[in-house]
Amino acid sequence: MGNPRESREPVFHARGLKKIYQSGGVEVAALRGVDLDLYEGEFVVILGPSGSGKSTLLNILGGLDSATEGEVFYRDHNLVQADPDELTRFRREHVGFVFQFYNLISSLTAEENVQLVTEIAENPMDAAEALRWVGMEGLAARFPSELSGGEQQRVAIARAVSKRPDILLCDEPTGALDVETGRKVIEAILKVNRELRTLSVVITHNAAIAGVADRVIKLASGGIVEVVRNPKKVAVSELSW
Amino acid sequence: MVMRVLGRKAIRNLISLRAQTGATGILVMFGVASLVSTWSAYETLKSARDRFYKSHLLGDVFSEYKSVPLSLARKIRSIPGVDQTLFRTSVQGLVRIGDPAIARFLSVPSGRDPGVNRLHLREGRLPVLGSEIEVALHEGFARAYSLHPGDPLTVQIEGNQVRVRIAGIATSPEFVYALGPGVPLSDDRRFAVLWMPEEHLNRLARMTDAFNSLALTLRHPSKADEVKGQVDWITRNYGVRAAYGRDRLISARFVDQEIDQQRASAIITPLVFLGITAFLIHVIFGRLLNLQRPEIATLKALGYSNRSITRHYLGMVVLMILVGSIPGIGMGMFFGGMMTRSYSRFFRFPEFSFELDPRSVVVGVGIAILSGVLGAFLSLRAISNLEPSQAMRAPIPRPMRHIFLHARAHLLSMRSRMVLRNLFSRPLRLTLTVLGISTASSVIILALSWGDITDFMITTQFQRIQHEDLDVSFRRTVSNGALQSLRNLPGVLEVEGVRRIPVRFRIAGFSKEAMLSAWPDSLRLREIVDSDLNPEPLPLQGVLLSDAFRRKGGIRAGQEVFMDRVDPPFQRLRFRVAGFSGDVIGIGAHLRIPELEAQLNEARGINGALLKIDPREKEALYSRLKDYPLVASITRKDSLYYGFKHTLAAMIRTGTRLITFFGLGIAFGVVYNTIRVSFSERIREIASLRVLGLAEREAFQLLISEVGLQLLLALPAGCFLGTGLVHWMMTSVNTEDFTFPVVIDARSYLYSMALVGVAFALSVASMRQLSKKESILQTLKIRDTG
Repeated sequence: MGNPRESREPVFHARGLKKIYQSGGVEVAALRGVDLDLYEGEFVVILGPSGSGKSTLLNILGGLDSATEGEVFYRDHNLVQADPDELTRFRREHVGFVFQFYNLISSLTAEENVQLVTEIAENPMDAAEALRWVGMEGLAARFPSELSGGEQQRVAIARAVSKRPDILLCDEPTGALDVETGRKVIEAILKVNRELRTLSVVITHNAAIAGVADRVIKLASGGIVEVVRNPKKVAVSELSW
Repeated sequence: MVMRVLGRKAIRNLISLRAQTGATGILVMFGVASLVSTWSAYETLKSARDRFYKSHLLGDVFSEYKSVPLSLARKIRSIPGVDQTLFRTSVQGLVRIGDPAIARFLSVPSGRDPGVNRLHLREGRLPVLGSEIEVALHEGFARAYSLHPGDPLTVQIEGNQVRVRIAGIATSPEFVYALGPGVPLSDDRRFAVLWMPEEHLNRLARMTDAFNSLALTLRHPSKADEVKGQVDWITRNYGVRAAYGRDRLISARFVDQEIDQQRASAIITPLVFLGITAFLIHVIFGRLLNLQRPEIATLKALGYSNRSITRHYLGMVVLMILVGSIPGIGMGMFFGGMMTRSYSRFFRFPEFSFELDPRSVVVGVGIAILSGVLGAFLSLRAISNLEPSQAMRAPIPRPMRHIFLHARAHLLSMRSRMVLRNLFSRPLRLTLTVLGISTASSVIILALSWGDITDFMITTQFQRIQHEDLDVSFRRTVSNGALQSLRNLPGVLEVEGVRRIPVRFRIAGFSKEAMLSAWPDSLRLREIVDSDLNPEPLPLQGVLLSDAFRRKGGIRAGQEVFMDRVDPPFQRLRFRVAGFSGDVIGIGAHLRIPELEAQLNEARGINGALLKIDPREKEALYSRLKDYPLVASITRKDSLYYGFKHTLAAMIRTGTRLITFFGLGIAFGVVYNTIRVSFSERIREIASLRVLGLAEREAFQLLISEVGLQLLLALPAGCFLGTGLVHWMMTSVNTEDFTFPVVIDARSYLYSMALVGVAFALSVASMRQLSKKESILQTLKIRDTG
């Protein structure tokens, strides 16, 4: 993969990123000046204990939250200055999200949940193909209530990747799953990263997952404390937690 | 200590659910208010009636005659079971004030209360025998003309004009509702009751050592039939056998009918509200418990028993109900006061002010709590099935029915499929919601239809049926030639004679005093219609009876009916029923003049006339006619019309407003809660859709289409239900004097839909504000608590 930082423009470029929440009259700084560049095709794991600001960072990158100070560019779009409509369009066209609690629409089958995205995306893959990607082709007609947690999460990944997003943002995707199911989910995310060259960012407090990343960014108290480049990535089957 | 923490949790949960607690509270408030107000108004009315009848000794048995020698009084007094008796003179006459008003003159002992049907004085004193003729005047008439003790009046008794002076203003248990003869509604300006010392009245009515009206009380009510039989036997040679009980006394019957109706609404209205409350609490609690599954599982893991957790949630239900109940009691007192005040315009009780019946509060709040507990019960049962390990798991998606999955379903957009599946996966809730909203609009339709129905009745009566401007009654029966002098008066365009005879109909064990009207063959100023309001020509032979007789007495065309004249010479008449007439207001019978004359054993001719006049000459002609020697009374169609519009409108206005208000309360409670619950249930999905790239507006539209679809189903259902409700209501309130047609103006349907629509729009608007404020992040991060 060479050295992406030297070979091309970053997908995300953030400087001096601050996020301050007002909470009961008290100011809480979730991010205290983060500088960050993320590149196409990278698999990045952001590690940190709870309260370290990792979810805030992910949400700002995904256009779900706004920064209090600093700048974030997605290619040449300034996300800090974007209005809600522009952010909606940004999410619709470029971002795929995966959450800890899947967030599938309960009234739609697995396939329809994916179609929900393919209907509004510009150059989507076929919903059936997206489900095949995550090994869920056999359960396409099931409703979320008829799927296990791991299965629901894989549908959520299929839904996120079906639009061929430029960025896949995953917030604790294995947080609610057992090890075996969690491995399958990580495998699916890796496959997307590998085959679609999607910039994939996974945040977790589970250090074991860091082994599969290109880069590991460690956060504590709202700031980056360490960036580690994995010289040799671990196979998913070797992960355990 | 344990319960204290849970108690705090209950209160905080309620606060976070405040919007729904509020909307449910509104329903509970209306439910409790409707019960407290209608039940207390019912009790107020009933106890006012019972107290008045008891304290002022309303008779149990009554009878009217031409004249009975006083010597028979002793016999009647000694009938076993008879307690107090009143033998008196009762005559009809006029009070010459404004339009001459019909008056009932009753004799009373000088300066003393009669033993039966005692007077309750409002002002002044009882009339005493003196050189001047004193009277006690009925309160209704006195109020209508602002008359007070000391004021003089000119009255007419048996053709003689007499000056009398008012000694006192009174009401009597016999005339709580003062209804004139031959009219269906009381009109205080047109009917007066006057009590006069017996010496004066007997002289004026030429009644010597005789009585023509009898009232008596019984030692025991079960003796009524026996006593009536004995009275009829003793007086068999002196006129019609006509002893009747209190249930046939016009005033008592009106009061009883009103009490019955009040009791019916005291049962039905609160049931509707509390039923809907139970449903809403079921929905809200179902949702709350679903959202609280992790918390419940945690409590269980900590060692709380099913029972203490159930108790905790039931406590929340009770709190929720109490929040609405307390203002509901106040609101009920307010509405009850309104109802009582509207009654006091028609019913003259000595004391008549709203009394809060504490039982209504206990029952109202009790039923509300019961309906809430019942509503929460199904949801609470789920608690015991929850495993503590639940707390560790992700939220469970709602199970869906396998509908709209087939190939054709793909013609539907994804969003339509979402909406339809969400709705049809919970058929019970869908049905209940649709039923709730449609009940609201049907209740509004019912309220508005009262106006449509009375408008229709008035229009039919005054535009279709009555074409005359003046209805004149004569002092005596005259020949047709007398009409010529009326025709010659300036401003008179058309004149037709009529012969009217007051009779007591005796049909299939049911007896009713009403008017028998005989018309000329060429009748043009009145239109007789059938029950479908199509023109019905007068039959060559026999009579047309009011349709009410057919409904009530089950009589058929071709049968014979008897009528006893209640004026001299008290003759019994016998006619074949040729058909039925659809009289909307008042009942009676119609026939041709020759058909009547064939049976009369007295002078032929007419005793009244209908006049069509030139409107420009109206006032001049009217004052001329008043002094016309032949004319006894004149009924102006315009003032009758005004009186009707006024009286009927006043009678229904309060009720209509209250019901519309209640209907709006239901509409708002159901619609707001439905939207609010859907919003809370979908909030995660809405946030998820927004993450996927849908704008807030698009995601919100999904929610609104779901509720909107239920509204669309509910509106026609509401019209249907409303029509049924009006039909049911009208059959149950048809009285002998009124035939209520079912008329619902298109506008009433539209208004009801519009009002429900307004409730919907307001709810949507307030929810949109919430939706805009909703942060995707907060929603997805935090498990919903509100």
